[in-house]
Amino acid sequence: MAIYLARRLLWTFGTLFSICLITFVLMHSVPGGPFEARAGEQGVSAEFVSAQEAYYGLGDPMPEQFLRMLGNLVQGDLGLSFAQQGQHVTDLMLDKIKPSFLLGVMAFAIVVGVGIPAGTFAAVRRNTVWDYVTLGICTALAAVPSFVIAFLLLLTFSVGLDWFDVRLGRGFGDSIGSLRNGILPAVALGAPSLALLYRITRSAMIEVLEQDYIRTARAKGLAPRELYLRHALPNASLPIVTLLGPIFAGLVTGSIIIESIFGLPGIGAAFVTSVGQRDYGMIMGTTLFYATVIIFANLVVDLMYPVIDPRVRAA
Amino acid sequence: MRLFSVRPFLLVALLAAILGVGCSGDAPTEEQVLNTNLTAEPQSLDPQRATDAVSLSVLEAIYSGLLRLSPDLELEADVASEVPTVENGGISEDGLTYTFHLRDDLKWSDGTPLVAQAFVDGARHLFEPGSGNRYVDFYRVIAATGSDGDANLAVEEALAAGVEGDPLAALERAVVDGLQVEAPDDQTVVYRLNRPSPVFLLLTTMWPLYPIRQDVLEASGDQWTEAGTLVSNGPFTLAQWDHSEFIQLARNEHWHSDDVSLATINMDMIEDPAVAFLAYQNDELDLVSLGPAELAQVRGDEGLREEFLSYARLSTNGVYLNTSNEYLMDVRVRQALAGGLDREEFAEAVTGGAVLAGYGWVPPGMPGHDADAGAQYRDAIEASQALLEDAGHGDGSGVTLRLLTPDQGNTVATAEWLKQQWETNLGVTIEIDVRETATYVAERNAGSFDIVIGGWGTDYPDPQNWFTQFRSGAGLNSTGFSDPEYDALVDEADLRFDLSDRLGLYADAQEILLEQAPVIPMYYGRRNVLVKPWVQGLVGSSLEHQVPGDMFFEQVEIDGRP
Repeated sequence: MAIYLARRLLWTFGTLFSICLITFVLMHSVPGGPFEARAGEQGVSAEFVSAQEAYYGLGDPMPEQFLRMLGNLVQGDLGLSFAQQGQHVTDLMLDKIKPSFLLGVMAFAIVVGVGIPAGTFAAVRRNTVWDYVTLGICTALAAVPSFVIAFLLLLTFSVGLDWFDVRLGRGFGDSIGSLRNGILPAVALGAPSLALLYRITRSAMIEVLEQDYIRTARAKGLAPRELYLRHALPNASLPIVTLLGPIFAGLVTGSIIIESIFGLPGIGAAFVTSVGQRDYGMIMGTTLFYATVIIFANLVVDLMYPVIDPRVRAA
Repeated sequence: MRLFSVRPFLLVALLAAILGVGCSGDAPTEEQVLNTNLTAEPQSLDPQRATDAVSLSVLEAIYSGLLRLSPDLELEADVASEVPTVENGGISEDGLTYTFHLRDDLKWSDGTPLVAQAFVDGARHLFEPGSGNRYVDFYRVIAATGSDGDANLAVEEALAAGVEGDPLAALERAVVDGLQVEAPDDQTVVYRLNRPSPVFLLLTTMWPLYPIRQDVLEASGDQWTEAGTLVSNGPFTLAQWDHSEFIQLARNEHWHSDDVSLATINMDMIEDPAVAFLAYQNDELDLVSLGPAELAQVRGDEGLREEFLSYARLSTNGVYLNTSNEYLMDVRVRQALAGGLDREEFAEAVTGGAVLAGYGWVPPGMPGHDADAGAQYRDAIEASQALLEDAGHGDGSGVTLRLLTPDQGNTVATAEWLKQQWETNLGVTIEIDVRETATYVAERNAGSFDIVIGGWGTDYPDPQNWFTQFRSGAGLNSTGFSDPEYDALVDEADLRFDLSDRLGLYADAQEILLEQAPVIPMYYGRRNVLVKPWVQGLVGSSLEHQVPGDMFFEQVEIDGRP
């Protein structure tokens, strides 16, 4: 086990280094820099741009800039932000990761708490009215764009029923009570993943329920709950758990659309805006963060396999 | 027999009623809170570093400069006791020395006295190397005595020559060291200039010359603008700043005037105008700016129409033409393009009436605006077709032009409309290139375009800000336009002090500009906002930044919130 983990860790560093290199090359190949990004339709003189870039070392040769960045990175320093002047990228990211993480966990709870039971239920009651209704709802959730779902939720629950404010982002995460503001965004964020998890759970369960050992257990007179929860679901969980890794990573890293509509100061927006702003430190930070979350989530999933199915060895 | 007399009882009751009614009118009894939308996180609340409209909205409310501009764009004294003029000795005869006397008993928001040195500190902070602030160039008229002559002039020459890196930083350092801004005593600030400037008083109303607390800056470094540490001198203070979430301003009890009614201003950061509109309708916001889609909804709603306000934005948008392009180097082709557009249709159909069709370069509300400027391009489609034929491109045959556009707001729709107009009216072929902002600016600076969408919003309300960008070789001149007569007029206007003299010169310059058409104005911007009826005293200014009324929040009072 220790050797396995050590090997995984080595691979992780290798992966992250490659991602770092590729990201660096790509972001500096794109035309325009942070000073042009700030200029907008009014434009800015080329002399001003090159003078500023030279001052911040952006005119230095690429290998030199890369090594400088790498050197700072291993010390945990992602540099200063070009978009939010005077702020350190690491501080900005930590501020943004907290609400996204909280929201991601809430969304994950909804996705798992609704998706798996609904999928199981649909598998057990397959080809009945319940199955078709749930299938219809989940297809709609998957097909309708997230901003449409978000607006519908706002119109119904905030403007119509007045259960929530429209501005949900203010103070989110500061207290337990403020988590209430995360309900609508969590539903909007988790909707596509919910649909996916439901479909996978349903098909995996159907496949397992057709196995001989299930038929035997039923013939032996096993109660339905024992049958489904202790025999069928664990055997169906391999594909489900495989999916939970990337789903968790995706939810926890946020979505620019959800964050923009609900006013949540999360990291999802930072992924997109940092590219437009050419905020190099932030681009590197967000990319590495996402990569790390995915690598970690997949590692956890891989470690779960032998727990779920003892026939699988962890090597 | 009566056990007690009713009469005294009634008398007391009557008295109580009268007194009760009398007392309730003295002070506003409701909570004086204004809920606004800042739309985005400010880039910086350092007055000498901020360049984006969002940051400037906050800075206007928390700082006060030496002078300010009234809603009619007249100079008024703010922290200074009066506006300096030649008559009162505030401006020297040669126009090179400006002396400001401060009011008595000025204080910072933490109660410490505000002294003239704070303005010197602000000016030095402005010129530090690597500030990335495009406004610095306006202030290079301030003298900076160096061993080789004026350091600010040296920096201007170096920038024009393309000097960068360490040599440039050394020159910029020399500016800070030799800067001619002084505080001979605690109540007096003196600025010396290296050349006469007819706009210097306007420049003192702007944030780059705000005073700063040097001690706070030195003690807290990069964190000096956070809510717990920032000390300012305006009608409000920065009470709370939750990054990317929320800003709260509180009334500054130490401000030099004391009739501020508002106790708190809440500033949310809702980026999506549709969501902000929902929040406004839900009474969570008291003010909101309208995008074209929201404007259409307001048009159709009688209740919302009562709350609607529209005023000038002092901006002009249009296209710039690359005069080195083989077709565009002929002025007749450029004039044909300028005349081959139905701007009224654009304002109505594409923007839903959110903007005003424009033919001149200087917009309404700006001194120097001429409603008849560019009239030759009104209803000129046939004339344009004739011009094109004259130039040897009858029916636009063979003329293909690349139109570069960013992807912000409605620029793509504008580009599509231009393509349709020019292809239909003139027969030319237009290819559209959409680029995201930073790439668009880079390509524009590199000159890789034939036609490019752009515009200008005024930095200060003087035509100088509108005409210097078209001088031969100006940094912002991406068109390659160069006309010696135009240059002479613009240079001459910088040397005169009489406004009507200068306006006359700029009027001639505008005529040349519109006739030569390196830029084709299309529309003037407007601010379209909704304001709740319980917001009293809101003053919209054509110069304001991101939030409606942000220049005069100290005049707002809340009355009648349900």
